[in-house]
Amino acid sequence: MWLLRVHKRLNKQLLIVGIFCLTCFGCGKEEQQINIYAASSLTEAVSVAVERYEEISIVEAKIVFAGSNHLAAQLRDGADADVFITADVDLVDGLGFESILEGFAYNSLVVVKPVAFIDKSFGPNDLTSDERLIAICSEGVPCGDATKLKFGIISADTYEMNVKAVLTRVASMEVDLGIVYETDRKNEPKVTAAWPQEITCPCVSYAAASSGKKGNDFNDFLTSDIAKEIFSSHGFSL
Amino acid sequence: MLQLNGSLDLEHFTLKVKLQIDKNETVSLLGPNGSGKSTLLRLICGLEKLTTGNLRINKNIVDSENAFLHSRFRNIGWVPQNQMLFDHLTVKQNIEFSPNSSKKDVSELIELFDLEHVQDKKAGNCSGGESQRVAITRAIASKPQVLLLDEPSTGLDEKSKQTIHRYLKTQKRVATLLITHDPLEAASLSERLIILEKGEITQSGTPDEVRNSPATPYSASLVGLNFVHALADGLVAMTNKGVELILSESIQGQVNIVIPPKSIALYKEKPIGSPRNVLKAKILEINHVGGNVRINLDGELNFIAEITNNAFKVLNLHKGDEVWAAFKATELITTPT
Amino acid sequence: MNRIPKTVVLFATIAILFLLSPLIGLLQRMPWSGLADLLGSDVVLDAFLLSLFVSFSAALVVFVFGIPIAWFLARSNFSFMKLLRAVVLLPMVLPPVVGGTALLFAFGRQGFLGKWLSDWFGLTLPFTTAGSVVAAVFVSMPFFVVAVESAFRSINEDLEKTAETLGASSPKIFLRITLPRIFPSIIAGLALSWARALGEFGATITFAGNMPGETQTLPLAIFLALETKPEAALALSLVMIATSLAILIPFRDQWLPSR
Repeated sequence: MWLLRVHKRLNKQLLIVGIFCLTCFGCGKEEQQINIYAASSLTEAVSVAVERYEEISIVEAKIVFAGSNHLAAQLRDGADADVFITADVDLVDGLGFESILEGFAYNSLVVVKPVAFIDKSFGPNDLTSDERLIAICSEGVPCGDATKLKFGIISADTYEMNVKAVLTRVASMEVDLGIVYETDRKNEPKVTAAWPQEITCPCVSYAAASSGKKGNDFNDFLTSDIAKEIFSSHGFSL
Repeated sequence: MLQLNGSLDLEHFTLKVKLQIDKNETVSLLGPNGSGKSTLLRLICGLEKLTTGNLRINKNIVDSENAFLHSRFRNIGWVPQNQMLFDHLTVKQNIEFSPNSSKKDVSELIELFDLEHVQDKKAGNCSGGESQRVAITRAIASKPQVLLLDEPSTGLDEKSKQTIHRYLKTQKRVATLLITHDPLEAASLSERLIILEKGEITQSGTPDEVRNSPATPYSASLVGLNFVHALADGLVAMTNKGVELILSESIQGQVNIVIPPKSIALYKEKPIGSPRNVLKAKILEINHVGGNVRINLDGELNFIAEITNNAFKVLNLHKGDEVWAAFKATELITTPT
Repeated sequence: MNRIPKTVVLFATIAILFLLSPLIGLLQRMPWSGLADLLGSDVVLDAFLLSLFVSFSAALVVFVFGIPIAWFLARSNFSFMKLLRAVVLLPMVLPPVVGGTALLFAFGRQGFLGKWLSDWFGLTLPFTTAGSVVAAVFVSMPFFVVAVESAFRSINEDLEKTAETLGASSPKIFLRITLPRIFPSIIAGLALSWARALGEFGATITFAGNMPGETQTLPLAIFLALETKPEAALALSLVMIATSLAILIPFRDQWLPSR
């Protein structure tokens, strides 16, 4: 009888402690999570950078990669992010971020061909030739605008919604030529430069917008040496 | 002219038929439900293929082990049980559908079958009687070598029935096989009857022959007669239920005995007198037919007695009553099997 | 007088409101003032005309090939019928992008059929309008086949057999007996598959690519515009809705292939 009463009391106490722990755990988790929205061209580089950041800080990061315009649209519609890394700084307008870090990395554009097309040689003239199948980014998305700036009018056969789609077209050999970022060329073994090209601008300039202490801390990290080293090893210019 | 001698394996039994129908001959096909009558028609049409044997139309083989002529080329007029009219076409369009039909014949037939006033009506809007007439007219218009009618008058109004009968009786005909449940119609329209039971022909002959000596209980029921199998030994025959019947002539062996309903007299008490067969029975059902009364009885034998209205009134009979049925030995029709 | 039970009315109302609300949301955000300019722009006109061309071409192909497929499925007795039917209906359940990718594997430059087409006939399908039509046919064919197959099945076979005993040839039977009876289902099936072809996105963008005037149909233009110029996306959506309603409303009685 007496044991039962003690047992009951113990149970109640355990329950209270449990709930307390859970909420703590929950809010603890909130304390330590950071939402990062990043342009898809940064996928590999930012993933590695975030891994390193997680080691040296107490945060856990959740990253969403997509085309910059797509991410901006989501943020406009109410999605929540601590950091928004975009290839087009204009997209940050009106989204309510506190501070913007401009031009922390650059990505040059390069014309690529499938690696399997070893014996086919191309030149700048092919960009305006109807006989070649060419894929480029669509105007309106960052890589498309930069492509137009750097290469002018191209007789393309398909305008893709983001640069990864262009890369896939070339990698799968559905097209002869595609214009992608230098970082993509470097990291995708199935494509290679179509002809010797310089890594110059006009190019794409990345901006990182942040809000709140977590966000701002991460932005600071982006300018650190560790981050810079990660970005340049992936093919970005600094 | 139609010649069939073969068999078709079906799910529950085998249809095994040998028959011949000449040009200008009309044969009626009767039998209980499920005995294979409609299937026989489908076989002749070419919608089924014989398992063994062969089928000839006008001496040409249309179905045999190594030959099969498609129904399109057999030139057969088939009127199925549910008519299968082309509902979205008019009556006239239905009738002239066959490439063999001629404009002159079509208009003659339309007149003959009383379809002038509906010829532009959509076939789907026709009444039962009109539909049946359209179906038959359509088959005839295709100038067939053989005409197959599956229950042409079942469920029809009297006028439609008369029109159809009139045509079948008076016009130049081709070999015609018609399925019916009505023995009177069969007798009126055809020279020969064939009775099909469980896929086999149990009797084939003129209406009179069937009426006078039915070979099976079904045949007997068709013509309204009572029928038993029995083993005869001299003047006495014993049914397999152990009922003894007195015969008028001595005979040996297995026999079929027909007891005409009209020869049975009913009594409230057991009558005395000879030579008569007297059986006890209980009244199951009473039906007034014409000027007489048909009474279904059950007892040592299951049979039907037909007595006059007067006799019925005098006896004051009711369902469930116990009566004595008596019939003379001389009234029995006995045939060896 | 048909009295519909109150529960049924309630559920139906909820469902209809649910279906209508995105439409209302769209109309509410519409930039009515600048609409005329937007609608007259090249992008919109190109996408509109291309969508019409692709969807109607697809409907034609579906009609020509769908009827034989439906007939075959309805009338044949092979043991692998169930499997065949599943294959024919597969595009209906396949995510369109997967369908587009699969089309690339078959008809792309490296695809086993694409290579043959290109080597022997100089024909390439990806990045061409023909490719858009192929993608549209792929996803919309099953809708037509389902409607027409069930119509074929509903015809009593004895009807056609009776016509045969009367001596009619197969073409005559098909044209005068079978076709008139399945005609309402054909119309309903065509409307359904046309609508599906009009709205096709995933397979088109994956297989045929995105090129204004060649392969950028209305859905592709809308998707792109959503990212770059949202008001244009709304205007394009309005065009799509208007087009769909204009074709589908006249067929409102034909939805169910029952006579």
